[in-house]
Amino acid sequence: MRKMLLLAVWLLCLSEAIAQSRTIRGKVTDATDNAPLPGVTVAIKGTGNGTITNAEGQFSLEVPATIRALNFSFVGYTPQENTIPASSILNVQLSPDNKVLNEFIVSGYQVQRKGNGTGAVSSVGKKDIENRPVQSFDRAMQGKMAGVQVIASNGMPGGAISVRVRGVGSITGGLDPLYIVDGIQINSGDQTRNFPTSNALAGINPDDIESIQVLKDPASASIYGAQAANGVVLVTTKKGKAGKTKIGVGAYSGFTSMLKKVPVLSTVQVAQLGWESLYHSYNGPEADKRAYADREMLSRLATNKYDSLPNTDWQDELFRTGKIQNYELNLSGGNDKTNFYLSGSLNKFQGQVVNSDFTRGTFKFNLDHKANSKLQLTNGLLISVYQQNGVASAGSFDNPNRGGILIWPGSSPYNEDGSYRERLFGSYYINPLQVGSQNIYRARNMKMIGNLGAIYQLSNDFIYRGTLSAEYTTIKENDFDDPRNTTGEPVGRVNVYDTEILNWQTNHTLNYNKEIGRHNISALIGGEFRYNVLKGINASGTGIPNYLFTTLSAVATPTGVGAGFNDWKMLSGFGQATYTYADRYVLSGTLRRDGSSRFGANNRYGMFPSVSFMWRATQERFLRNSQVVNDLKLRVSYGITGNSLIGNYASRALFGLSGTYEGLPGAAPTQLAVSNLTWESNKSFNFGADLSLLNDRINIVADYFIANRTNLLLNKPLPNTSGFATVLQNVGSLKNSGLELELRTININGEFVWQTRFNHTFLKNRVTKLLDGQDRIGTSTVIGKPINSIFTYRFAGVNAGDGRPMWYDTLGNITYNTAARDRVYLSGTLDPDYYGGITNEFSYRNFSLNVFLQYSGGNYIYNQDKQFASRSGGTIDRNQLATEWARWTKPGDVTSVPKPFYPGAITGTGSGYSTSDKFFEKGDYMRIKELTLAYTLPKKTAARMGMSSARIYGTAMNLYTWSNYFGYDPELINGTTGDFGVYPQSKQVIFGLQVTF
Amino acid sequence: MKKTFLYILIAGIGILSVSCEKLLETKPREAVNLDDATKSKDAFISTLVSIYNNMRVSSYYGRDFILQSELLGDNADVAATNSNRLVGESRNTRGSHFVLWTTCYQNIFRCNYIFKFIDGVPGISFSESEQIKGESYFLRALNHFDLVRAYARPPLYMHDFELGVPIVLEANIDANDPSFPGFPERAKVADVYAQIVKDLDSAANKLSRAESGAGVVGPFRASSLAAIALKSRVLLYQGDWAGAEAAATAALGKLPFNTPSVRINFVTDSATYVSKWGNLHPEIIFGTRFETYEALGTNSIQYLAYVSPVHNGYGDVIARTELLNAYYPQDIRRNPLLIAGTKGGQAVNWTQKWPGARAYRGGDDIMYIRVSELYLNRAEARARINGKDPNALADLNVIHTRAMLPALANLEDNDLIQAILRERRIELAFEGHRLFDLLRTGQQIIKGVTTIDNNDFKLVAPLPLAELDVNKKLVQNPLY
Repeated sequence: MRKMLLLAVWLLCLSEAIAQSRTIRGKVTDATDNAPLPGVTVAIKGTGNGTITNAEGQFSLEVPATIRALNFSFVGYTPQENTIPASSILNVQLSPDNKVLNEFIVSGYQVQRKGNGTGAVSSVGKKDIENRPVQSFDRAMQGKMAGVQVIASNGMPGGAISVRVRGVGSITGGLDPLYIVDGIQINSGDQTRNFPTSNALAGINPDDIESIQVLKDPASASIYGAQAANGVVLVTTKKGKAGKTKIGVGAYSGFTSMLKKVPVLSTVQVAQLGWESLYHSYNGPEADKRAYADREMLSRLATNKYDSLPNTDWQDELFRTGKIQNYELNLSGGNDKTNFYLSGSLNKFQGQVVNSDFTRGTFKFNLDHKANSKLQLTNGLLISVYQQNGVASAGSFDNPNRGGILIWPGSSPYNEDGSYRERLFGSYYINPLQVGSQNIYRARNMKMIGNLGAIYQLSNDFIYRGTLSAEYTTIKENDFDDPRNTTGEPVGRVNVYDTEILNWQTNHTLNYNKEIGRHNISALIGGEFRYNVLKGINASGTGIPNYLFTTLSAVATPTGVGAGFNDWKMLSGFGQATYTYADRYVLSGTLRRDGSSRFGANNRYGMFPSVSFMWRATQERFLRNSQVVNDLKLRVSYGITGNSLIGNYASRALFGLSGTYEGLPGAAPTQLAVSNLTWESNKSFNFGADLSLLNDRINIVADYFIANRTNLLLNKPLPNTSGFATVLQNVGSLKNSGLELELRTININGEFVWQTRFNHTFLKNRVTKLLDGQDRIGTSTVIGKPINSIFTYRFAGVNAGDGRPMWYDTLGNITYNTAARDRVYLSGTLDPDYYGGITNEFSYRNFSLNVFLQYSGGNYIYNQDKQFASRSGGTIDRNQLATEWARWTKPGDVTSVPKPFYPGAITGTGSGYSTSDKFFEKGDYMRIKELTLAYTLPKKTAARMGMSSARIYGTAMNLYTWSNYFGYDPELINGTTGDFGVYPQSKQVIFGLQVTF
Repeated sequence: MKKTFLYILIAGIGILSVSCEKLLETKPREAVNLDDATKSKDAFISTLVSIYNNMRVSSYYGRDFILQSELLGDNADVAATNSNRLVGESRNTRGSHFVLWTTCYQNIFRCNYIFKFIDGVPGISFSESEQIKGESYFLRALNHFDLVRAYARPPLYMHDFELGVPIVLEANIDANDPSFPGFPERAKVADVYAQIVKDLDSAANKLSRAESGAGVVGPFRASSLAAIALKSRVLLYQGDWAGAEAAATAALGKLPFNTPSVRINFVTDSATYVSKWGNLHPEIIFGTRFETYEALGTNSIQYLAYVSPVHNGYGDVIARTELLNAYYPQDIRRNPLLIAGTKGGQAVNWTQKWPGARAYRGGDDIMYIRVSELYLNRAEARARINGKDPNALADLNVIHTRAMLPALANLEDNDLIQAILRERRIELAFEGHRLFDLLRTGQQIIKGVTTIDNNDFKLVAPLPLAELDVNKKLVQNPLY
């Protein structure tokens, strides 16, 4: 009986409850194109109850009668609260959120809204990175962010790239920023030990990247302490989203070709110049001079009929059109608890120089899982294998880039029977075509990056995050000299390097977040440990039976064995606190304590603080309702970061290996102890403003910074009589300052859309302190002048009367012999002092056109290729630049090319091709870096074909360059050897298709 | 419960970030802690090894030191078609000269380092200690000798500039010591020579003692024979004729001298004399050899001085006409020890003393001191003491007749000395003696149409500018 009563009461309550709830149904679509939006959160306000839309964007939710409205939210769209109509059918349209300033950034060790950031951070999104024929993502960053300068130091496919954030900040220390991918600090740069150039970042497929942020000032970067002085690059890879599983398929294919050819002479011209140089060098009557020149040329070339000799265009022989292919498959999806991203890719890129290429396969996996309401787990895995076939390094005689310009054009690369000609005439006697096709210069990298992370909500205010990650790299380098050609004869040579690098790290943070009315306090405290170790072995041998044997097992005589070992450790603690008032004032401070095994025993630990403040002026009464200014933020920050890119054992007194003799090993004291050795410091001020006008149609970000780089490591010279040449000391300083500007405008917004993005950076650099009593190191580092200054002779042209080269001396008078005191400083240095980029995007209906111009300038480039090839015929056995044809021939000729004179310098004068401002050219250039034309299939057509989106595109990169530079490519890393033999960049054109199912 | 976990977590993170020295310890493997190394005897043998290795680098005895002396003098020239190496030396261009300062002082430091620490090392026998010290004295003497003859004038023709090079006898490795690193001045040439002779005497004494116990380790390492032989050359340069004669006699008295790889003796048979160059020549008193993995390859002396049919070469360094004219008719040193060839259409003559004798490029042995020089040293010393000494002529003829030439007769006084100097020139051509012989005998240098006086400032090397910048007590050579 009681049971019956209970049941009745229960049923009554139930029916009451049922009577008091209703089912709301509806569909959520995208406001711009009416596409259904799956995965949208539909929630009852104030509760945790809700649902998400299905693959068709539909939802159905049981809602109590008292509830009047539902909240709709989805990442990337503006959230909405909609009242429930009487019909219980609620269809909602969500608009994409184009509020640039409110993107989320993973800054430091926490996620925060960019809108509230106090630091100077620039970013690029995946649209600027994906589907481009670049081997590594750092190339894709070029010209897209203010303050971030990317220079291809080498165009070899997969070759190293230099990234400089806010200028050059060290004299002897490293200049690379810290790279962090999904929270893992990874190694960058060239880790090979023998191969000419390789980029550790090429293992990451750029198409897996969601976004890249660069932290430029102390407010954003100080939390990385002793590694952050050169800036921090944060890379986030793609993650899955809740909803229907998306399958993406992409492919592109195209070709690479030379940017330009350097004009050189023909055989007849080189021979003519050679004849003239001999003629001029002979003292005697006219007939004797001619006879001497004829005789000498005959003995060298075996003929006086120069036009009977072949005329080979070596640049045509050594450059080619290379093929590019890229294939990709990715899957992403998930539900409200789990999301995943899986991708695989294959990329093949043939360089525009023969026998060079790059091949890579990658596999990427990202997984996020909410184990329960408090615990979230993340897991990521990247496996990448990439291989480079390279060409001989810049300085060697078989380098094809030097060869293309310098090889005597009268040599044909082939014999009459079609086989390779082994010895060419002249100094450049090695046939790069033969060597390139027979020798092996190969580097194979295998990289695995994995991480495991957990986020645990300890309480309403405390969140714990911990990660454990590792980056494991193996590099196998093969260097084989074939016995059939001059580099490997007579018995061939095999040289093998094996390297293994392990980088593992763990960090743990405790995040606190509390909101009390209009006050918001967030803080974090954390610790980190990182260990990096490199182990390598190498072996070489000679004496193989036949050219088909290319392995070490085949050598008869081992000629060398070696090993490499390098390790370092870092232990850190850090904390950060941010106070925000009413979204209007933000005050933030960080403090980090880093200990590193690299620093001297007396200076193991360092403290890196920073403080920053942001004022959102548009929250103030006077701007809150402005129709013009919809967001204005002013930021100021000051902080100290460190540069620990110094040698791993530089602070120790070492007894090191020093050769062998008579079968015994040698060792000797090789390094003195420097117990006070410490990191280089970067003390920076940053003033910035973020402005958004006319409802986000115009966005401007401007930053002004002053960075004092102190404690720079310099080699203090010791008298060599002490047995040591130098001892390392932290004594130098230099000052960098600059202005960064980023501008985004939506110029026309309708069916035809035109948007522009522009960034520009001005840089100034000055050396402020060197060793005691020292005001310069060599001639390029001088107090009061920028680093990498150029001190050289001034070329004054050629004497029209006798063809001798002339220079200006210290008094400005003409001299025919240079003396060290005659040198002056050029107005620019080897580093550009301005750079930037402009992107214009046009779209009309389903078509879009994207034009990206990139530029840089204010620097000089040392054109050493030109110097080697400007001997005005004085060296008969090699080719010269076409400009040498304008040589002085008779009195009255006005030219800048001196009289040809064998074997080089005219007697009594300096050499016409000695270093002078003649060979330093202005490096200013502007380049159409990218041009993309794309057509996106209309959604209905795509849907009919079973696809959710499809895009066809064509992209050209490095399409055209405006520059006065005579060499191959004005975009070059500075250096004392300039562009000598450096593999230039190429032009690329690809056509591709990207489809999502 | 949650709060406890929270406190544990904060504590854990705090501990992690607090200094923990052990967590930051790393041990380099390719170089070790200097303090630890100084406590074992292996360190000192390794240091000696590193000095020998450092002496045969391409910029020193490996190639340049030997060839530069010939080019700066009047024996050798650079071919018209060339790889642009040592061209300045062939023309005595200002600034083109020996580059030895850093290498030699590094070696001297290592010798001093051995002296400083070897006495405190446990487990080392007397004989081993004497051997190591003896070799160190020899090397210190040889390095000071090469420095003083490259950067300063010879004792007999100083042309009023008496400064030699700094004499360094102490190793200072403590950067905190107030006397570190030391800024020595240039000692007088006479004092440098005195120190060299003193070190060679110490070397000879110690090495004799060690050799009587444990045997000879040479000829690629220092021996008592090498010390005495070098002393005869040093005393000859110094003008101590009696001393030079005595030392040469003492050295010749030790022949034949047995070493593990070769029985050192004078070679009378002309065929052997010619064919053994580069490959364990019996005349080698002190020199170096290269394993396959140590060979200098295209930076070797063979590569620059001879286009070998097997190994190739630049073959830039060729014999001057003046040298060719100095040979006697039918002299085997003119043919086959010089071989004719063409380079870039020019008819040239290459030395065969560095012939590429081994299967690997750059594998030739290099002799720093050899037996024939002892006869020449003694002949000159004797002739200078007494211009009519028949023993001087006899010594001269030992060398002369070995070259398949009839004996010389009726030579006295200046004629005798000129004949000895001529014989020295052609016998030791391309071995790195010529410039020093010209300087110490006060002669002019005649190259083609150019005549260079003995007191020309360009004949001694300039002190490195970097060194002068750091050590203000050093004085640069005149007119640089």
